[in-house]
Amino acid sequence: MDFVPLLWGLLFFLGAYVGSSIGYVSLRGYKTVGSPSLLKMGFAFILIGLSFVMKYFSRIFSTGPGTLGYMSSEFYLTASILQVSGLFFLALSHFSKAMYERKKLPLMTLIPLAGLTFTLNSISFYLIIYIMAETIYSYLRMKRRGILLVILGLFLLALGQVLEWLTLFYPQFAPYAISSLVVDVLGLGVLVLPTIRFVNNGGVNVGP
Amino acid sequence: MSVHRSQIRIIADVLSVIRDYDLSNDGIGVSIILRKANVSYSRLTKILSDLVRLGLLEELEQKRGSKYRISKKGEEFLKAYSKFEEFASSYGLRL
Repeated sequence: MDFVPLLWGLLFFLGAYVGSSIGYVSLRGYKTVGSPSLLKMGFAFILIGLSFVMKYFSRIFSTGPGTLGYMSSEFYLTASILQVSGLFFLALSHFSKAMYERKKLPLMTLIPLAGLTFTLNSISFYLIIYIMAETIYSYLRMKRRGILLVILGLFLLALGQVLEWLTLFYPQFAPYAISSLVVDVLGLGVLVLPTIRFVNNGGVNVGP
Repeated sequence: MSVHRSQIRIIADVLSVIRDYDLSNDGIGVSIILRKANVSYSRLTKILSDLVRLGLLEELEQKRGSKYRISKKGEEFLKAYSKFEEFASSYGLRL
């Protein structure tokens, strides 16, 4: 029995589940206390979770002939758009925090790349780096050890992005595409730890 | 370093001041809230009327002005606020 398709499916499911779990808790927080930061964070992780669902469809259709094969790239493009939008919302919540506290970190110049998917992947990478820089700054200010886990999670997401790039640019890396998904899911797995701790402390059931 | 407060943070500060300084549970006046929560008068009156409308505060009519007391719903809001503030800060964010 070939376990590889099963492993792909499991990893996509984990990515979608973890992303939407963090998103759900954040949106519950928004509903309870009305903080715009939690709303943006909620949108961010729900969109990232959905991007895993789209990547799963892209993977399923990639083996199909003709039109189905074409739909695979459509799904992949949708996944990239969802991921970029999610990361944009996450960056935005850091950006508005930074706006209150000090000057923003300079936004990095994007290198134009051929193809929409490549461009979206580049934007994703830059957004992750920006969010990581802001999170490092928050750690230096707050000195909360839990933030280090988030930095590690973001680092893994950035690494996953680089691995995904390699598979897009160099076809000989295609068999290793699963490693990028493994690293992505590991990154999200680390990112969900503060949410698990919050839920275990009865955080979701608070509120008037 | 002075830190700019978001609207939700100001609301939480106002509620915390009312909860912490109303030791006898018969309400506190606007002047104490103004001083301790560090909010302008015009902004505070708007916040207080919103919080009373939402049921987070109780307004106690006096001969001269009003006093404010935190309601059970207000205390629950503060508890939730503190939990979600911790949640957001574990991601390096502020409410």
